[in-house]
Amino acid sequence: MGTLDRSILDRFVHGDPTAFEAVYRHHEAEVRRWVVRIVRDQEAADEVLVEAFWRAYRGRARFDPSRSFGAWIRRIATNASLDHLKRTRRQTHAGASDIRAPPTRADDGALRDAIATSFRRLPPKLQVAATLALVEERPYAEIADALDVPVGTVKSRVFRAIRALRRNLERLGIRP
Amino acid sequence: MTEEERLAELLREALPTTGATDSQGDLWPQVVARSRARRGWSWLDLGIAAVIAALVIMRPAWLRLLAFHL
Repeated sequence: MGTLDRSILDRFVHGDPTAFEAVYRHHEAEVRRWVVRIVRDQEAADEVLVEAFWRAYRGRARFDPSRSFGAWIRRIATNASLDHLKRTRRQTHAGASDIRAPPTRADDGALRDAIATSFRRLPPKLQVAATLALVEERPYAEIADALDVPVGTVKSRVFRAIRALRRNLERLGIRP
Repeated sequence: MTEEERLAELLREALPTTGATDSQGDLWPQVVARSRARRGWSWLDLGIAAVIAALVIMRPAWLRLLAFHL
């Protein structure tokens, strides 16, 4: 994906709707791919994508056109994805039924559900770091840039996610 | 296999796959609608309005000053 012309970004910052659409069309696919990696749901990814570009438009005056719009919108999209996970985590806590018996290896579907539910109960910041690092295998530097934190923080969150997930699974009688 | 690798493998099996990453439809109209939607008052707006209202009630003479600035 090439970079947009600087003049388009200048016009975007000044609120030009045509420039905004050009920016959206140029970055939409890449941003959506990123969001899907985090939220793991197509319908949710659409909502988060709309939210991310709306936030970018609302905050356009803060964007420096000499910088990378792609990196900027990715940070915004990551935050929007985090907010989505926070909302759905509250719903997971509210609606989840107690798992009375640990699923066995024979119940692969139940086992996967238990692991997914345990993971979704982790703090969203840990979920995002673990999903991008362990599941999507993205470079730590890329994750750090998207979260706007140091690489060390990403590694720390991944470590804490693993530890918390292991604890949650052990409570369910599942040994990784 | 380390514990991290094992948990990563379990997560990859347990979490929904991302599949096709392109949206089914054009989301631009939704982005436009969202950008044009009337924004309600934020908590900051409400807070400032409440403070001004309280000051005007406590000091009615300030109403003239407020009206001048408006």
